[in-house]
Amino acid sequence: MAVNFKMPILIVDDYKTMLKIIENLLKQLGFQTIVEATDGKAALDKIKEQEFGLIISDWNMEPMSGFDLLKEVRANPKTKSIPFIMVTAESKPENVIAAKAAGVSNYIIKPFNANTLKAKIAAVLGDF
Amino acid sequence: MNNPDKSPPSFHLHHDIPKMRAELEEVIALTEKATLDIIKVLESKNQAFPEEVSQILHSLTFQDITGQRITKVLKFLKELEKSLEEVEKAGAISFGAPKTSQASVSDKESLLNGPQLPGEGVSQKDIDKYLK
Repeated sequence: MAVNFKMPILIVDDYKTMLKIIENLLKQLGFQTIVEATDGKAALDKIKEQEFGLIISDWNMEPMSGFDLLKEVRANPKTKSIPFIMVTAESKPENVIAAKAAGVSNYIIKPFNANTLKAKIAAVLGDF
Repeated sequence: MNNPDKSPPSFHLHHDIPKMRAELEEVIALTEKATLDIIKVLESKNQAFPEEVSQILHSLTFQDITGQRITKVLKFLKELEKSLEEVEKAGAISFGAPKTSQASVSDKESLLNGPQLPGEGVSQKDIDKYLK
């Protein structure tokens, strides 16, 4: 499966620094269209506006968390098949179990490096 | 049970805890600004990042992690402040004036309150004007 580097990717994090870091790492990997949101609610608004090929989201955000965003995305027939990667400092087993039960595609613990991000995206979208 | 030491707390509930929260919020703001400045410089240097730049970006994720840890402490302080307010309202203890009033603080101690939060201190421009 060839990865479409032009597909829009939605990144969601309440820290501007994290958004910039993920954006730069994704660009470095060759992805060209990156859209940002600062919490789950803002992300849902973006999802209503356009289609995304991948969502990369933090967990711990207010007012709407990444976990709630994941559940909303999976509950909507139009968005339920969008690959969803959780990137978070929440590393307790119960978090990972809950995310898996809610339908997360992959899970990255912060801090992470470019190789980890690439490997997890490849695991979801196919090798590139 | 009677407590023989009835001396008032050495901090002012409605002044010191909000001030400590403001200090921590400023740590988050300053580290965020510094991190964004570094990212901006890295972005301006290269379209294609060498491996070293990716490593620097990876290291800069510290700001997110430390920010989340500080935010946890901030939430705890807010809760603590609320609980202590309830204790004070119940009349169990009074968090009135700080035990050490400003007047009794030695000159040396009274000059050691920095770094000032935004809007508290004077600017370098003001200092230069004053010392001219």
